[in-house]
Amino acid sequence: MSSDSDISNIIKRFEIKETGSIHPINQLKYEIFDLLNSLGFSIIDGPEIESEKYNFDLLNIKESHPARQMHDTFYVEDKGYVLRTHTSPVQVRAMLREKPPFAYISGGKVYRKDDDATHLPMFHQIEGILIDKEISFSNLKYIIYKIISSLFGEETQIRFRPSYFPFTEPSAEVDILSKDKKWLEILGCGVINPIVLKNCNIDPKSFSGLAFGLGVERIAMLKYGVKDIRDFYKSNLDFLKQFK
Amino acid sequence: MKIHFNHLKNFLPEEINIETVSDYLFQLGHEHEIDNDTFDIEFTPNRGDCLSLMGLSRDLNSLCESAFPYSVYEEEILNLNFNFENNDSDTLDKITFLYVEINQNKIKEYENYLQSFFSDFDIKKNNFFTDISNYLAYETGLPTHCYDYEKIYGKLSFESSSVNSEFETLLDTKIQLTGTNSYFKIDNDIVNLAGVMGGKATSCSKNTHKVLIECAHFNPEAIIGKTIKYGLNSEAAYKFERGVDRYAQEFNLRRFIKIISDHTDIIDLKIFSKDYKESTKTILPYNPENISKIIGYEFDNDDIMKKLVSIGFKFGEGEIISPSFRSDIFSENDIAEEILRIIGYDNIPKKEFSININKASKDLIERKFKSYLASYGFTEVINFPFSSFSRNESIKIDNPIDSNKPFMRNSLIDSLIQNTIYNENRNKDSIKLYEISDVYKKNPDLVSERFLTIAVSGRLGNNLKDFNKKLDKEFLIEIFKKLRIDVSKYISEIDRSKYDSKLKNKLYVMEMPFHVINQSIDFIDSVEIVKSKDHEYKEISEFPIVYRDLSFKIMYEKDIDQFCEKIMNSETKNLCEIFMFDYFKDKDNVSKLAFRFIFQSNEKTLTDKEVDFEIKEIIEANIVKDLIEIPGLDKLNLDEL
Repeated sequence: MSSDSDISNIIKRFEIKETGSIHPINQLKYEIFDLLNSLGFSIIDGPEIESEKYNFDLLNIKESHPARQMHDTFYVEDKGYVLRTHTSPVQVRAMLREKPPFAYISGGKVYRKDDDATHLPMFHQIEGILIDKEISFSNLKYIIYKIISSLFGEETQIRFRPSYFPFTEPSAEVDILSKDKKWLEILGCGVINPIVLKNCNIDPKSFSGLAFGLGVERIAMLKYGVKDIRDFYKSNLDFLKQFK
Repeated sequence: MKIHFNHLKNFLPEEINIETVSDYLFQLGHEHEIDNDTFDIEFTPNRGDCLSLMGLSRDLNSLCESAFPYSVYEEEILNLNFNFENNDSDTLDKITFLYVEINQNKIKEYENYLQSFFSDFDIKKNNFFTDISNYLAYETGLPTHCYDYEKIYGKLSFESSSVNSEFETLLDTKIQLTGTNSYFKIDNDIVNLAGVMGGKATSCSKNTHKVLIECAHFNPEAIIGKTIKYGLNSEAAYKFERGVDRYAQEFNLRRFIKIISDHTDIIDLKIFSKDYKESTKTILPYNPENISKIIGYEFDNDDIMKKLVSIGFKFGEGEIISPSFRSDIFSENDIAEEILRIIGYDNIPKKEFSININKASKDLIERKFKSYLASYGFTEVINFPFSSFSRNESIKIDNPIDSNKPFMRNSLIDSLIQNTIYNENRNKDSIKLYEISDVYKKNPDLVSERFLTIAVSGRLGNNLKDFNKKLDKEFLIEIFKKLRIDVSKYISEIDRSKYDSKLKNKLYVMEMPFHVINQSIDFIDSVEIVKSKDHEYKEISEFPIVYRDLSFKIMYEKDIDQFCEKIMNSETKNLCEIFMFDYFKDKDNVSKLAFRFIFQSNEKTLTDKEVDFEIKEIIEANIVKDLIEIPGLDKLNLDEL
């Protein structure tokens, strides 16, 4: 026979308050921050409204580059500024401010003039840079393997492909093999272009660096199986509460 | 760009198959999909040299031996005495014109190589010269433009200037040219939008038998953005924007002649060529040791040098000379990338290293504060910063994606109210949302401030204790009291009449600068961070929820535990949530337990009958007659379901 205290315990079960949740994109951002922080990267932050100098010029993105067109980049206040198109300007500010060696990560909102089922005008990026003596492409591979196996498991098959970014040379895109045996692009990376080092007053003869950038929504979609990127920003409690 | 394997195969070893070529293309960085033996390749913007059969096969040469399989016209060509004026040699730095007269009546059926271009890609033929020009751009990568020679009624010249005039393209579309454009003109009439599209006035037709073929090199910056500006689709512009080989014009035109001669008799042939820039070569130091340091791997230099030669590079004493078609090679790092592509990125071993740098302390306050709010049932939202509201200090977006929202928000309140109403409309009756984000103002310079904004509406919670309590101002004050922060001045009740909301629930919002939280840094620091877990995401339904409340009378207390266990484990097709919202024990020690059952379908809006049927299933699975009663059950007429 149940005693009064038993009943009270049974009832108490139904008094438990429902906990809330941190947005899945921020959860994933923090998870990646924790990993990179454990590898020695420090977290830095910067403004979302940037000058063209930091967002493009110092990163070797020439004025004629398609990314600088009005149909790709949001300009504000009569072309005086842009909504940052990547988190790289945060790294540029760090390179101008600090003396190497250093290793930084930055993450946050970035903006591009896109809007469909796979692209949004606002999304989140995490970027990392490491500048030291004799940093090489093979070091970059080491760090990328660390990130991907932490996010998707040790067994994940990874493919590096040559790519092109004005701020890295050599540049690579990295794919992972999905469960249904399709290669899915996961991040971009490369050896920092010596032009960018020079632009940031770092002597490329003495130092080299690596850089990588991840789209947080893309990784979240793959990791959680979310099919429509727009679901992250509908503020739908049925969606968000699944990430408690 | 689409490249048909059958066409590319002519340049490659006979035994090669499509899968091997596909693997090589990935190794070289040419991401693609294959559809019906056609590679749809997404070339990176620096590799304009690969945008053709010749260019791609040339790039493959380091991995499989390739060769140009066709011949070119090799006889001497007389000079064309041609009065051409170039008024902008910064934009047009090299040009070659070829004059050809043919026997128009003797054009044969297209040879296989030409015919298959049109049939394999299902491209509509136009006229003899335009067809060859289109094919040749695919074969060699150099666009050409054909003028009907008999339509050139005056002096042909080139210039760049600001214009405002109508231009009729050879595709019969009329566009209004505005701003600075580079163009060819005859006397004062624009006849060709340089590198983008020719004009109707001088275009070739089936009757053309005298043609002036232009092969030019333009500064890519003069071409970029023009197709988007004028809504044109131009393969030529796509190539010019990415850079074409300025030294291959004569080769290209000699190939043009050969294709003509494969199909008809040539009556007359003359050439005009002008280079407005001193020829330059990209010569870089070549030090295998330095390059090994960039890659982090020691490679076989003899083998690599041979392979670099196979893709057009030449070597001098301690130096490497880049081929003219590689406009993307500027530095030792570019050479390192070439070598990496030859070796294969995946064949480079990863090299462990450690970062011996003092780590800056992490700023965890925001994250810990979020965990604190989560313990009170708050859900974090993230909204786009675009707003239709302009306040004094609002920042205006020059080119908004939605013209109704041309401002950057400088408060998060409107977003949070919209989020709350959206969820209320989805029958959510306990809403606790927050957002932490930067907002931007012009004051007079651009300044940013991080805000915390909270919105609450409805029940305190969907549990036995909180079901009958309302979310209100006091709830918010209480949460922050623990942090020793008085937030009463930041809270306001929202007037729903200004919004599209029919509910009468009170809706409270609270907005304050996030730095206020720092007043309570010691307390926040003691909060344990909620770590992310592996989530199994279930697709959400767009259809409304339907709920039913049922009260159960349990005769004997001993049965309560087992009953609750069973009821909480109820499963029906559309049942998605159950919770107890009332418990009462009467004077005879009989317990009454009230549960809410929430149903939602992924396929449709559920009818009352469908929900009642699922309720019947739950009751029949859980009720033990004589021990449990459901007051009012008889009114449900379960037997009829």
